[in-house]
Amino acid sequence: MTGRKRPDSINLPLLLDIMAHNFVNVEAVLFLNTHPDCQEMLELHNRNAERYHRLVDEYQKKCGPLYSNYPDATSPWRWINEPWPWEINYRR
Amino acid sequence: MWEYVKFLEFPADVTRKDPDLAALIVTQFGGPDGELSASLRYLSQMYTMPIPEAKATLNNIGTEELAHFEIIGTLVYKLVSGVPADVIKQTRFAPHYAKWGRANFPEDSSGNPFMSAFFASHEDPIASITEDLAAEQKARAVYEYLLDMTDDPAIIDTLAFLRQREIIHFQRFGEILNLLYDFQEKHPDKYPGF
Repeated sequence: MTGRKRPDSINLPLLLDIMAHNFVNVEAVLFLNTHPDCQEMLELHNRNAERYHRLVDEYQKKCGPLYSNYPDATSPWRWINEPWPWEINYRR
Repeated sequence: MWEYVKFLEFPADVTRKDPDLAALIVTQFGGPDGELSASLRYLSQMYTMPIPEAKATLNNIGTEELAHFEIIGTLVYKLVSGVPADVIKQTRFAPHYAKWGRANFPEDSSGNPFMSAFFASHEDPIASITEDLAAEQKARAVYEYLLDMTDDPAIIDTLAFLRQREIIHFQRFGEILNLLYDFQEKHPDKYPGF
């Protein structure tokens, strides 16, 4: 890999935690689409979404943007930083 | 619209390079029952759905399938990146290399390029959702064939995750089909073809 890499370019444990929280809501959203009156899943969805956004905020402050429209972007522009998701060794 | 988020839906990994396996797994990148086919099928069908649950479900599952397209792309990339040409030459990946090098290209495991004729998109919502149920089962079967082709534990984890998603999508589409039959009974006038 070449290009911009910094020691803090990724935080793998935090990233994996974010990915897990994202997945919970991928699943919750699909379920709610066909069960729109399910209060229990709605509460799980909202609780998990709040935790997800807190983790994403923490990650973006430390490691740069996961969303290119991140409002607190710093210079030089870190969205381009490697590694990209397909370049990460998740099992190290 | 769509917005990219800079992570994968699942931490797709490989424990060793394997161009032979890459040449097989690519069928889920651009083959008939692959993730690109799934995504474009659902994202094409959603517009004319008569009930909101069906629009939402096709939108969200179509979006998730794009994330699976990225996961399969990651596996194929990792299986061949950095492998020297003289090693690739002796594998099933050689015909791909001759055309594209190590770049990902949406094709099936025989090298046929992706085409939208792999799927259908009907105004009749029962026809479309019934196709989607079959598509999820076919994709599940392909993941099982691919699981038979490797003993790499990291790849097995990833393919098993994707296989499981097909089962969940099948479940959701089954619920949509029931809602469509309910809608059809209540609103025969609004139902195309009835």
